[in-house]
Amino acid sequence: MSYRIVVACGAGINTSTLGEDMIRERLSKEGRGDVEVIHVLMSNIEAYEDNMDILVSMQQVYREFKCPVVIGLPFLIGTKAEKEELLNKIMELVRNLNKK
Amino acid sequence: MFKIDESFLLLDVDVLNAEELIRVLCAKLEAAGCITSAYVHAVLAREGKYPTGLPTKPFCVALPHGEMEGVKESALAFARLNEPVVFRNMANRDESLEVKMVFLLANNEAKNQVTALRRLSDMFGEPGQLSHLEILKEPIEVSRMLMDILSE
Repeated sequence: MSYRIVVACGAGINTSTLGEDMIRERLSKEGRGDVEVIHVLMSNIEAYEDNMDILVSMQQVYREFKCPVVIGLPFLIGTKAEKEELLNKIMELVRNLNKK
Repeated sequence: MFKIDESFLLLDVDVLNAEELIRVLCAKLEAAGCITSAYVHAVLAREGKYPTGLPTKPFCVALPHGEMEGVKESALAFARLNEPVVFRNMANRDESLEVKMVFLLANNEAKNQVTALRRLSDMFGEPGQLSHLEILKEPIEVSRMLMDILSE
């Protein structure tokens, strides 16, 4: 069984790549090769809706999703501690996926 | 690598609004040969659709940019404003932020992007770094600081 984290952002400079990079780093540190991380545009999120286990959004979300949603803005403007806290929160969600 | 030149680091400038500021910064980048005039349109169009204001502390910043089109050489332009201008919040476009510093990125290499964003985000997360940027007097000092940040 493998899992997928989708990091979504508006467009352009792809702030989602920032979140993607940091999450991937942490996953690899914790030996979680079974979790894939991809970045997508928020406008295309429908295409992934049934195919993601955690959504990390760099912007406000205006609707419900089937999977847990985390706001990824601290990746861009958070202190080191806030970035770490956000990664911890995501890793906790990842660990909960195992229990399903 | 991002070009940072004193000619496009503007300290204590006065502008009427965000659009004027973006035009002024792009004009400097264009004069330095880093972008073509297509880039300013791209930045303005994108800012309208996907705003780039960020609720950083102790004051808000913005990170306007376009895609790679119109960028001849990757560069970072910077403005420190006497009076803040309004940018919409990247995370919530209905919210207006009073922005005091603007980092305008022009990038033409995909591989640059994540690294540059990570360096900038480290700075955005440290109120002390932004405060330091607020008190520097000379463009050369700002240029050294930004180069340090981007190359760390």
